[in-house]
Amino acid sequence: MAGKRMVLSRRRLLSSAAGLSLTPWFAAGPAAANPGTMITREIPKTGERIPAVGMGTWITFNVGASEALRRQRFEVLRTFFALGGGMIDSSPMYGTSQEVIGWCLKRLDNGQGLFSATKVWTPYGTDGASQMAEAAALWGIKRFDLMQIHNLVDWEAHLATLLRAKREGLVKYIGVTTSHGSRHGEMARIMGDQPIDFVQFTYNMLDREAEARLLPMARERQLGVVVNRPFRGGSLFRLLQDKPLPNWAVEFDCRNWAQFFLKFILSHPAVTCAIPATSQVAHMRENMGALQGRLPEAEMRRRMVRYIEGL
Amino acid sequence: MLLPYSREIYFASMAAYNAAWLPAVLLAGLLAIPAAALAFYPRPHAANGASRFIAGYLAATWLWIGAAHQLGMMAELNFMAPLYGIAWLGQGVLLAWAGLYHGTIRFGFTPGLPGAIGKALTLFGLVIYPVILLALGHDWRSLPVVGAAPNPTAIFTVGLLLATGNRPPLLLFVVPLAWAGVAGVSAYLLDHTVDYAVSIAIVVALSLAILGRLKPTATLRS
Repeated sequence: MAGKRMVLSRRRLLSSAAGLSLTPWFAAGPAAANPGTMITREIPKTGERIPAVGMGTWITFNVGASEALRRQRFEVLRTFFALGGGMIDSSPMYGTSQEVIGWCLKRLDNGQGLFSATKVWTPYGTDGASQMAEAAALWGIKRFDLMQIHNLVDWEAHLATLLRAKREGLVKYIGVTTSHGSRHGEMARIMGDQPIDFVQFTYNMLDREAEARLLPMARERQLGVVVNRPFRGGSLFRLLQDKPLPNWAVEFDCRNWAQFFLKFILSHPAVTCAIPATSQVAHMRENMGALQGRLPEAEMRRRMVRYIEGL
Repeated sequence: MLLPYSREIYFASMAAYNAAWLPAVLLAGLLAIPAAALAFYPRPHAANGASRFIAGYLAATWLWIGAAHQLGMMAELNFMAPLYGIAWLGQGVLLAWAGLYHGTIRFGFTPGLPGAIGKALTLFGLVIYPVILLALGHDWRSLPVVGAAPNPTAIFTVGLLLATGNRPPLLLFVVPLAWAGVAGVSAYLLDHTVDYAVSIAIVVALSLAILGRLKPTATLRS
């Protein structure tokens, strides 16, 4: 399936140019994205388009108070935006990640092009609103684009809070998340019954259970799909660390394993955005490279799966 | 189970913790030396005072680590840290109750296997563990110090408890045993092999302490 390429708005063009601005810490910024050919996906409920590769912050942005490590993450984030990034996903569960995101955003002039996504994560439904407010303060933003219920914890209570927040304009979209292939049954029930906009779950070249039910259901129910663990926590790289990229990867403009894994995910028509996490600028460049070029078609996807499973 | 931080972040945070609390860290590390020395070379006429000093030192360090390390530093990084902090505080209270209030622990290395293993574990926590970390390439500023950081303190404590002449309450091994589980899981998730030694040390100490209780004690005949 070829990715949809859209001529992007002036806003995104300007945000990419802004990503080239110099900072006190480094002399040169990353090369800019090519917004005219970047792969974006439509959010089903509204038609809004976002870049199909975002950024997760589990572990990678939980750097505590270390100024040196925060500066390093700043460079990762600057690269992300310069190369066309939009969705950043976080959670109160991720330690200091939200605080570090806010620290970085403040120095990036709040990252033009940001699609902010976080979660409520508390077993007490009554704490959801305060947790959302705390997250907004940490990020330094007034409104989240996407608020999710993390790992379906106390989802019935939190869903009421999220719906109210949406009505009040505090969040634009709401959703639920799970990971590691767990609780897909419950997720499917929520997808079928509840007025949500997004779902987030694990999907990668080895964990493809979502193809059987969740992905088709998301498409049918017009739900945006955020994919976590696209690299299976890094284990896909460890599996292939000694293996060269297959020659035929060039057929879908793939130059490294990160793009191989990401393009497989993005080539599923139900996927809105994958959120790989990284603490390295070089890896961010590789990840964002998946926003360019062709995507594998159905037969090539099967070939990719056979190749990985054969290793 | 997942850890929300990496090994890099843990040691960066340890460096910041050591710097922020430098006087307390240095004091805790330095006081471990007389605590170990009083246990290695007990003096019968001063046994009570020495044991209370050691018990007080251990209690203070577990309380400190519970408050400053777990509830302070680690709670920002790890959502489980508050629970661990409470456990460490609890152990500090237990040590104070058994060693200071009741004075039932007689620290001192006894002949035999438990004494030898206990001495070895005490030295491991005090000296060998940080040396290994240095050898692995960790920055000296990030080294966990006995009395101020959990892993070396847990080993140091069970070493001293194992080697006591009388049998310390097994209750004092419960929290260290739980920490052995935490340390082992962390060693796996952070791919930090040396920390398996923490789990092994505590399990060995508890096993020998239990075995020691199963042996009949010698009785005097008159």
